[in-house]
Amino acid sequence: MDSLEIQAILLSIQVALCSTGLVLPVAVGSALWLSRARDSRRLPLDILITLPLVLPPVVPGYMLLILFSKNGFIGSALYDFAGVEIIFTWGAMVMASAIISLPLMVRTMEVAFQGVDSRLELASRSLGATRWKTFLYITIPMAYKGIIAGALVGFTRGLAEFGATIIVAGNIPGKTQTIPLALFAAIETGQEVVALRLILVSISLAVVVLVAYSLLIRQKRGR
Amino acid sequence: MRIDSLKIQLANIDIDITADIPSGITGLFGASGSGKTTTLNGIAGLLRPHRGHIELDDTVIYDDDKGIWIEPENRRIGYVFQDDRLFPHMSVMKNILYGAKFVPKERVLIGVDDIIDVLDLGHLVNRMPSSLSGGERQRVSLARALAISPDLLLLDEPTASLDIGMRGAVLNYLRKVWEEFHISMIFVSHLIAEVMVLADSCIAMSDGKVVAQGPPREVLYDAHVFSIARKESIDNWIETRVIKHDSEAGLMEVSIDSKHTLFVPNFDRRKPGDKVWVLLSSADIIVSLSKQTGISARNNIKAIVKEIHMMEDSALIYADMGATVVVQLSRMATQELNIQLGQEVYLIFKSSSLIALDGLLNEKD
Repeated sequence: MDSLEIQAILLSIQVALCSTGLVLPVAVGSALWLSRARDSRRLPLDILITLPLVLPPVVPGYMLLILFSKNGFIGSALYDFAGVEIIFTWGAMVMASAIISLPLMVRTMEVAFQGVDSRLELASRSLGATRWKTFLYITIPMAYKGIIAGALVGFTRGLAEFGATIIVAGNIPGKTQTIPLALFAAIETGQEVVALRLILVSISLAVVVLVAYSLLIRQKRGR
Repeated sequence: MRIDSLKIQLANIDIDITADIPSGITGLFGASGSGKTTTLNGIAGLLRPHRGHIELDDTVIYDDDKGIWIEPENRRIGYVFQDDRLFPHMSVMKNILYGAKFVPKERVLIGVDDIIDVLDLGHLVNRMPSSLSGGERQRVSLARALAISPDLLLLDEPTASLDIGMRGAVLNYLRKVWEEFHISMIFVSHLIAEVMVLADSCIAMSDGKVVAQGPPREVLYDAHVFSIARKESIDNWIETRVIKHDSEAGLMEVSIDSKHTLFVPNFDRRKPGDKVWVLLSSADIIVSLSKQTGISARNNIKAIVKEIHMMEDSALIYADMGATVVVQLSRMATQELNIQLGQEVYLIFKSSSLIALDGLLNEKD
């Protein structure tokens, strides 16, 4: 395995971890709100969050490119005020990965929050706990397995992210090349041995996370 | 506490009540669907009323005109739910301490140790809620609500999920809580008997309105209120003491007072001198104008008629046989027997229609 491949593996893990960490509070908040909101009120947020899941990943990727490029609405502001350029950096990869994994994380966590009996939350309020403390002491402990499961799903999706990433970050070896992008380059250039190695690494990483996920789910059922 | 024209509108019921609730134990009585639980939720702040004014010990906790709304966590109102709502991921002790940790030290009036002691929970504190019986869960739920040193305790049908034997135990604990800690309670029940045994005052509700308010005996045997609950027969709860067991006959003799004794099914765990609550349905009693002999029923007791309430198709007779019991007769039978106030009658009932209540085993006094 050459150093570029190792860099791709490490970058994949780094991007997936950062995007999962970044999305986690947003996903928890959205999932909680969606699990408690009435159907008519939840629809707009529900659609907004689900869109990246059903659209071709290239679409959110292209939208990020437009927004964050040096001429874009957010990108120009960032450049003017902080001198920061995000496009074609690993930061752009984190954003792309975050947007793509958000719906999967929210879906998983929403189910966990629906499983928490809201009557117990009311009991907690009557015992003197504020909304926030109720969330902390009752809701989170009762839903934490679903929250971890959501984070694992998000992390796996982050590792696998390709379509949106290649649009906003390109495929620069050693800089913005993750496992799927390196794999794509290897196949394009006919490096079959490299491709095979990267495939094995991808499968191994995915298997480890999926095993952790299934252990967690089994434990949840067994409880 | 004072509730002024509190209005809560929900899809299935409109609540509109005004009530002055004295300190002590107040029974909130009504048929299911009359709005009792909704009223409690409004008082606790778990549900926001549309209009009205609620005052607790001179503190306004809700007033729509003045825009006052105290969040439930700041009301200091303990709530014992019908479905105990214990936190499944916490031990019994952690459940009890849950609310206590939010109470500022200077406001703690009741020690957790005292609560555990009064409610006999010492042996359960390390258990998880899933391993408790219904009666135990209800006691933990009561302990948890008490641990916040509440100004008022709301109890929503705390005995509804329990079998008849355990009901007596929970009611007994509630009485003990009042005697030990002097926290006023509003106690919801659709059972007249429970309110009679426990409450110092009573509010009867029907279709979201208060229909009567006052001492339980006056309110609950009011013909109008009774018609709300007419579908159920009234249970009499009689306080007795064990005299002796007759294991051969399978019976136990208990005394109401020095003159009146009853025969009830044998209940081995009781020793002579122990207190036993005996339950007798008002519909299981036969009234005779003279003493009957040659009759199989074991209980044949002289009583004095104290009150007669005639209703549409039945009559309620209050008779004193050492304890006051309610007898439910048909209107026709009452007229044919020509039962009069102050008259001496005999109340006849089988020992098998009496139930000695379990769960008061700790009480030796």
